[in-house]
Amino acid sequence: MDTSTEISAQGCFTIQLFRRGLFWVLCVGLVLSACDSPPQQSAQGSQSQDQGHNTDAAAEALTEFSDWLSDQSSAFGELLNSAQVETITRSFPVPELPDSQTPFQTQPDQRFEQWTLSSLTRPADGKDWVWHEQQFLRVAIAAANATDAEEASNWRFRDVMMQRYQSYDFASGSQVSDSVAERRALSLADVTDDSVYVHDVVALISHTGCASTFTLKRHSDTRADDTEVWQSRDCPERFRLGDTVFSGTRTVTDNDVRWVTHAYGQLPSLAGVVLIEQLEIVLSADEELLVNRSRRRTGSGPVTVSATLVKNGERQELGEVRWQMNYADAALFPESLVVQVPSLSQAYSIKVPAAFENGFNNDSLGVRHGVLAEQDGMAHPGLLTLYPRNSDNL
Amino acid sequence: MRLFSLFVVCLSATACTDNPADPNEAKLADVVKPADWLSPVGPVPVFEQRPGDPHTGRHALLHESYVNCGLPERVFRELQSSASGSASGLGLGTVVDVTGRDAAMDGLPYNTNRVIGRSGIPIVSSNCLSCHGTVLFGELVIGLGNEFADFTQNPSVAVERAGALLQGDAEAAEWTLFADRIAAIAPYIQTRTVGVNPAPNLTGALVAHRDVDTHAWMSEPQMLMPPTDPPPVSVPPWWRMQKKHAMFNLSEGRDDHARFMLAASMLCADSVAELDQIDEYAPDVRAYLSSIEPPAYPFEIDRELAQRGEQPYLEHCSSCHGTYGADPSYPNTVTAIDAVKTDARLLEVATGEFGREFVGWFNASWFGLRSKAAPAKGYVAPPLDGIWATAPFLHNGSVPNLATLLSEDQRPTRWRHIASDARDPDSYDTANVGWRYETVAAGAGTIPDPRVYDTSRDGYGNQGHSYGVELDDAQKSALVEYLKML
Repeated sequence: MDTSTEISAQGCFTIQLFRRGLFWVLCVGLVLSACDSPPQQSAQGSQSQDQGHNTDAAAEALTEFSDWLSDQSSAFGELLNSAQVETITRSFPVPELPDSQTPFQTQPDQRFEQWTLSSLTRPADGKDWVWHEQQFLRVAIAAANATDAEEASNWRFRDVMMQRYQSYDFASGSQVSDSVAERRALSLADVTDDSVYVHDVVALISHTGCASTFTLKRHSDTRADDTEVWQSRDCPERFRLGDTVFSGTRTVTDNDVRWVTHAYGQLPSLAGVVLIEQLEIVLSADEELLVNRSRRRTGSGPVTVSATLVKNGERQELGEVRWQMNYADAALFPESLVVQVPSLSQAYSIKVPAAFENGFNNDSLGVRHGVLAEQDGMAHPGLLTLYPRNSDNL
Repeated sequence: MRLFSLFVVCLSATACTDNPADPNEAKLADVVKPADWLSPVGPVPVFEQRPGDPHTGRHALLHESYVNCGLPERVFRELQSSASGSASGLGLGTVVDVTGRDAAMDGLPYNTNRVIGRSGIPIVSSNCLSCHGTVLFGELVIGLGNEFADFTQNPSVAVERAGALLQGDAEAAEWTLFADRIAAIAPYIQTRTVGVNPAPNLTGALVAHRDVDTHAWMSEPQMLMPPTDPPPVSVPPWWRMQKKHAMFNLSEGRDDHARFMLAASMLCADSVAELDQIDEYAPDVRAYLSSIEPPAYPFEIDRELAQRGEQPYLEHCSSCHGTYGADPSYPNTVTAIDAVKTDARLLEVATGEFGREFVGWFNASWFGLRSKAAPAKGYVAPPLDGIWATAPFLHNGSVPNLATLLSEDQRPTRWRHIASDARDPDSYDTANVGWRYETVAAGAGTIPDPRVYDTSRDGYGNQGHSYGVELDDAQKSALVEYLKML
């Protein structure tokens, strides 16, 4: 494989990973454990000022990069089957899970790393919720000590890095979703001990004890007030699944729910035969309802649904749960979802955002998005993960 | 322990119940004329068992592929290495030292075996200790029934979830085989209460999916399925097999015990040839089980008080439960349900229409070539060796300790264990001989707690076995102390 093919394939692989592997990390990892971490009550609050400021530049960069990648689709399959992938994978160590670790610290020596900063925010009028999500992803395609490639040319690179920003306004049902992908070449993206940046967006990560702060800003913008600050107060629960380490926290205030997740390690699997869909409903600052639904890609076997109530960190299984989705003709995602939990004598209705149907393409396995769960006239913020109806072809 | 503990078929879990002395039992047996597929109540005849080597049997128990399906080892260890094993519902079990296990099994729970699956990759399958092993006060006791296992959850939930971690065709093939079997039986093996075991239903559900001649797995049931609300049983200790002529609560395990035990292989052994292979070492396993001695009571015993309890025991208990000491005896008798009056649901299922079909299949199958299924309309009065370790009591584990067993009006209606396992000696109530418990008011809590044993549920009743009620408190106290020594 010559250099150009390698770059193309790896870039394409990164796009796939971003949409598939990253999704896998969020879904499988969190379903299997991280979601049982107790939510954090935060008195620290946060600033939410201008999350849309990066979209113009991001859209331009994405367009160019996507066009370039679109010519490389066949390389993706070749890469997945190539021995080179194995070589690259073996060159990275299996991550360690230290006894003591600074939350969300960068792990530049690991093959794969991702941060996701998600929020459901309700402005002062208390009505119109907005969903924001900022993601950073890096995939190393050469070992940390493989300097030859970098030294040979400024166009060579060690990491493929991406960032993605999404926003969805529940009142209007409109969505802004843009992504930026950059190579590390020419210092357009990098991970250091205290920051990660891709193109024009930088996340500065600072720690005080267990508390972590993410300051999001434009790389070129020096205005102090044009930033967004994400904070977690407590040590996140960390766990390891295979060769990937996960951590995550959730912060709840009166008008804001924020999730911060971090994963690093080896590349996640893309090949699970079971799809796991999940609804996480934040009932209060110290209480959440987790509903998991599993189904096989083949459509055979049982569809299982289970629910867990997590209150002050204590988990309680809720037994039988009913999960009912209503589809429009030919739609891949439902228009609405109703989850009934008999043991709680409650039912939760979710109007599935159009972002599911609109944001899906053939490169995706599924969609994860903020939702509002209606129950007895109340709207609870939550996260919904769904796969398209015909997932067997993906 | 949840899902993984039910992969294995805890067949012996239906073995015994406490039963009283009743001089009229033999007469009852004479007058009851059971259908020809049932056994009479009363004495159980002896059947000479095939000889075996206990050492070979122990090794086979802890290594062999008698349950030859499970999760791919890589997936299992991934789940194990995460902090999520228990939280995810997989209940991956406890890792403790097990003397004599191969190094390849290092780090695996005691209730699992690492075997090679049909696709040639290593898988982790459940072994018999999922039901028949307990970490008691920090040490694994092989043969002691697990009275804290959780079968209240749908096992398919966790198995299907694990499918998200598969890599490659071989792992997918192993998982699919296993997951499909679990899905077929899952609706029949969910109990209402943590601690009781659905083994009779598990066996029945597996039999229903097996061709009687070839033992091939049939995707659709070939006979009546058991009820979806399984009759609960308390798992009996293996050391009782030294004395018992028939296996299980209703004495339905007649003739060759080793072959009957191979019902534990029915989850995935798909041919007679596979069963024949396992049957080669089954007598060794049976010999090992029969060689197990019960653990001695680890707390202080008031010997003088215990001595005073011997006479009440001999007068009220020994005719059914046998005698102990220098010249022990065990009568091997089934007490009619009309006499013992304990919860009858297990018996009703086993001797009803489903039971008739089950017995018909079993006795016409490969199993029937050596063994015979023939339940009686009564419960076996088990030997009481090591009874202190086997709480809670009665065949369905509905009575938490010996003191309340001897005082029917003191038995709690709704109760739950304080501890969630048998690790802590402080969780054991030495005065009443059983695990500490608390009573729970009806309707307490907004969400049903599966740890609550509600004796008003069908099959979960704590009535009957009203023997010794005429004893005064001092005599009962002495009798309880005496039982600690058995």
